[in-house]
Amino acid sequence: MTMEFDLNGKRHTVADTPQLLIDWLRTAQQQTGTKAACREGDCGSCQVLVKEPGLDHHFRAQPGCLIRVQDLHQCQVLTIEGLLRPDAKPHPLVMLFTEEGAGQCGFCSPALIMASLNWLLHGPALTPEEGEAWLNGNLCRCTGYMGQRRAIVQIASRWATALLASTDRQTTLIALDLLPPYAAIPPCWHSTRPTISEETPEVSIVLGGGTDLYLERPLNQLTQAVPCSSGKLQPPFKEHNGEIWLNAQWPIQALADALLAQKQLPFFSRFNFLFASLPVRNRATLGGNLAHASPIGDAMTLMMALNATLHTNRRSIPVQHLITGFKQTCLAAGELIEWIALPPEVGVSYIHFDKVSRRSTTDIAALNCAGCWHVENSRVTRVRLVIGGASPCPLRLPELEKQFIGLPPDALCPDPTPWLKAALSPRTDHRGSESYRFLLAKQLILAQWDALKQLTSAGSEVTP
Amino acid sequence: MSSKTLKTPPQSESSPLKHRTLQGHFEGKTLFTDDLPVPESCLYAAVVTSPVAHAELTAIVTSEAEKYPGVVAILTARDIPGSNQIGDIVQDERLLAEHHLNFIGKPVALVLANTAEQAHQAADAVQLQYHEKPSTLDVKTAYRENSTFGDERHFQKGDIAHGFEDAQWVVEGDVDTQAQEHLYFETQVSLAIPMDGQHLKIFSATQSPSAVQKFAASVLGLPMNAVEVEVLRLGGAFGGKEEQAKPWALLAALGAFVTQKPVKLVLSRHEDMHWTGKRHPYHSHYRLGLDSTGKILAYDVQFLQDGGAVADLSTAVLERTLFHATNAYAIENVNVKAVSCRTHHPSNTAFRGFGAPQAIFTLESAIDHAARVMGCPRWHIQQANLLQPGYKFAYGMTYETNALQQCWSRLWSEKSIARRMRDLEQTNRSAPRYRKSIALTPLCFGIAFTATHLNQASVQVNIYTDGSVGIATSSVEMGQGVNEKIREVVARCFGISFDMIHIDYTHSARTANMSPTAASVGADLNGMATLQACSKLKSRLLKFCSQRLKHPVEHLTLRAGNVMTDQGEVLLEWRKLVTEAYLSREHLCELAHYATPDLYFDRTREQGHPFAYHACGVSAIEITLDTLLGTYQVEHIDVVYDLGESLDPLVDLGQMEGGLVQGVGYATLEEILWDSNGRLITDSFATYKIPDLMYSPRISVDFIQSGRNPYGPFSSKAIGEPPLLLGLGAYFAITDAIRSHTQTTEIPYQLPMTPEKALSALYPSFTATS
Repeated sequence: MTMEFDLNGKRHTVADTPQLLIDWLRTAQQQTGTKAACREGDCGSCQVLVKEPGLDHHFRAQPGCLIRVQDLHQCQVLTIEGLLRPDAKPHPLVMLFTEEGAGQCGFCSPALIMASLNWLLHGPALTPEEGEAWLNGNLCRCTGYMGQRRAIVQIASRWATALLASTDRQTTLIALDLLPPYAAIPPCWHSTRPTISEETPEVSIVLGGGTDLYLERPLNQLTQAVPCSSGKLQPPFKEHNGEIWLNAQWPIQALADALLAQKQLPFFSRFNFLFASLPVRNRATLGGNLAHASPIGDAMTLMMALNATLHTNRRSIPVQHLITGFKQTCLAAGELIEWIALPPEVGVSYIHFDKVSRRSTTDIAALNCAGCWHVENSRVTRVRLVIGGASPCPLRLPELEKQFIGLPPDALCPDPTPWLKAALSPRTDHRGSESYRFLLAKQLILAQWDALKQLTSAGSEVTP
Repeated sequence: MSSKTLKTPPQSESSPLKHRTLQGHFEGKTLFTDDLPVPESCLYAAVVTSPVAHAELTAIVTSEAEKYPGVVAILTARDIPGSNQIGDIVQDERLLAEHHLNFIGKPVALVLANTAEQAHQAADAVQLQYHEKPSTLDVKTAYRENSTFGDERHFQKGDIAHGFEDAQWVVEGDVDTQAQEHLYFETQVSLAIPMDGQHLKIFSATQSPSAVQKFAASVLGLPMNAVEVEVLRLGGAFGGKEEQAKPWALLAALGAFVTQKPVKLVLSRHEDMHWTGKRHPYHSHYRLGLDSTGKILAYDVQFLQDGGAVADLSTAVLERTLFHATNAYAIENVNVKAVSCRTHHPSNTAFRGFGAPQAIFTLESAIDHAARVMGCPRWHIQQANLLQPGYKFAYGMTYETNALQQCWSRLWSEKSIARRMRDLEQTNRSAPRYRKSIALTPLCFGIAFTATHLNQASVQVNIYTDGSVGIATSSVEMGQGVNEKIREVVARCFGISFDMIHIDYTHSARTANMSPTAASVGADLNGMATLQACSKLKSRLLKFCSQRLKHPVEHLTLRAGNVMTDQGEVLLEWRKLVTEAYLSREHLCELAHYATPDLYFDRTREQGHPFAYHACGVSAIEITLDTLLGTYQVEHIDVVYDLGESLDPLVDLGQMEGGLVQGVGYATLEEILWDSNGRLITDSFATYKIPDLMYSPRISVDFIQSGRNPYGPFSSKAIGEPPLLLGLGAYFAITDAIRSHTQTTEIPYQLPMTPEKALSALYPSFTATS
């Protein structure tokens, strides 16, 4: 079959052959403003804006190197070329970044414009601090990022007020000449995109965002991969018998934005920025991250600590039963994670998540650690502690948890070492040696205890 | 002393098109080599390389691969019509291996096919037969085995034995610095196009167009005038495309010459990281003697450099290590030995700083060691030994200015260093989880190619009849802003606006025999040549104007797009002047050649005047360490730097900020790891981490001007490499914070200080006690 989508306001029909968006843009379309520096979703240079049917109806910056053209059926794509105006008047963001010296060699430059638009479309506060986090997925080897910081300050001071007052940022951005008029066209709502349920599930590879799968296998081995996109027509989350059900098939960032807007699960926004880079979070789904079954998948560690339950199209699975081995799950062929249900007690827990990696953001963890603490009458009554990266899959530590029961949060932390040594089996690799991971595991438990002390102390702004 | 603080650079109102190149970058309009429209009949190349670090190659079996779809040709060393020798300083490098595989990634064969995918698939099917041999992957082993590039070099000054006799304190130890990957965003790329049989055009992303031209000619058995090399611009280079863009350009040229079809060769990120060299790892051993006041009396140091498999630029890099062994300090008794060693890694190569970071980190480590033993702050020893005017370096050149002292005192006074240090020490005493620390780094960096003959450049200035000006330089634009600076020189000479000045792509037929764009001197050399050419044109035009208008030439000037009197009266528009001069058959083009004066160096005595001048600056790096998790944030860097008169404040600010962050990355998180067979483990953006925005410090820069500089246009000074060195202090800031928590810990002087190393140093007894 053929695929149809809009590129910069123009409809394109392409054959269903395996091809990455970045290659299609640069070769078939000769639109070379989108650059490829790493081709694995790490550098951010190939970001384009994509509006997907069924999502929240807005453009989001996504990595062009981790999207197949086939995955764009009924989507709209906006690239840097789409922002150039016919009257040759420079784009206001281009002028701003230029004036602040936010580029040198030029390879990462166009993507900064795309990332800025993504921020202006979705950033909840539009402060300079927020801008730095939202543009953090745009790596640069030349500038040292100070030009970007200066530009971010200018962007915030120039447009934040108008956008924060706006109920429809897309329309406002069009009025401000920051988005072209055709950005207003909604994507097709009657998606005819094939999904797993319509295909023969047994021969298909299920895609979430594809951000891991496209890295691991050549495209020609993924001809049977189909997106599990049917769920994207569902809301990002819902309440069900006091539980909060997260839509597993929503991109992680869109989900976080929706939760934040509804003031739900405040911890999610606090830790969300630690999961991959923003363009990847705009593509990758929470369900995909879980089903990928990585030993250091950040979401798995957190969801295990939260005692989540997975609802697939066939059954319910406690999250800790999902992973059966190194990158192995208990999911049957054709079985899809649709919802991730968080129990009501999550609302009255102290939740802390730490991730230690070489680079503090946009990196893969040496170890991560999540804790979900219950404190009554100044004593710990229950806790779930999970460490990822020190065993074939993230591991809950029930024996260690018992050591904390009954303790007041201002007590000295019991030495977790013996329990960690008994439970963990870390390996040495380029992200850390075995002995470092043992030491770090201990320190992460101490950091959990330190965080609990902060969270429960009087005057703390964070309450469960 | 005149000094000024650079805040927001002049904005676009005054010069709307000043940075229009940068504007083109953000609009995605800028053309890189990979963006060029590919000719219809173009073939794509994939390179078959050695999978082992050391072996004797016995056969290359291509029969299977030749049957693959789309394959047009598979070329090996036997297909090279000219010379297979491509080593520049030392002739020890073959373009394609014949019998000897000396590192993982050594090119063996070139596969040409109709698509890049077909070429790569066929390349995978080429079988190499070889006998593996033991490999040397470590510099100390190579040194023991006497496997070196040339003899050990030796710089000395004073009487080292005497210095140590008088010393009250002597410290001795080892320092290791690791490789650093350039991680230019644009990978190695070239496109070669055959032109009428015996003539070839190469688009190459190289810092050394003339080297590509020279060796392409030699490989193909052609004279140099049969090879054109054009460089559009580079998507970052940092030294990684000075010598090492060459093999890929030559392979594309070979393919194009043999098949008589255009050939494009682009390395994937993984290929680029596996196959190309990095910053040289060093092992060094120091001995430092000091008197009771902290004055350094003697410094004895040996540097072992891991040069990799072939000489490449290693001996030149090593030479700069020798020159910068004493960095910014006046040390009277000095003994420096340095040798480059051959290992079976891809040949290490130029990288911003070029051997100086390893030297400077070693001496700063020795000073840190001494400070700990003596119980004084590190800055105390730094300050007591700062360069004074009149100090004669071991290599014979005298330090003439007091710029370094100015930078040092200005940093202390303007950035409240003393107060900040006191405050954070007090905070740290209350034993908080998060500790803060500040480390200072003074820098003195010699400006010139240390190979004296490279200090030359030609620039062609063409004034067209409409008054617009085109410039062909000998320099390559790679983001460092050399083109912006040249435009500034032209604009100042002719008094015309930037939109009338265009810098051409770098082309071997427009300017010949170019030195690489490197050593921080691109703007100095090319700016001075531009200045010469423009001055000649200007005096010719003014003379013409004087005769025509009957106005004394000494009262004429070019300003604001006009010929003016010195009273400011407009006599003639620039455009009109040019048109009239043309009609009167005045020559409107000028080629100028500049060679830096006063440079010489005698390697038999290791004495001379190798540098035009020294660039000086001081940085203060503040970090916060999480003593629980070993993670840290480099919070802030304050810098005072002697920039001279800036030709382009925005460009210079960007060079400073970007260099600092590259240096911080080198000192803290950028780590190259190899497995025991010499295979690179950290071969992608996912595993080799460079600073991202949130990792990077806030930077405030104070540029000062210490005096006139006759070696730079309009008294400007170089800024390409020095900033990287000013980022090294991040290592010491982190280790200071670690020691404020765990006094007794022994921290090896080893770059980089990763969170893993920091945590292990914070809890040294963890394994032992549990």
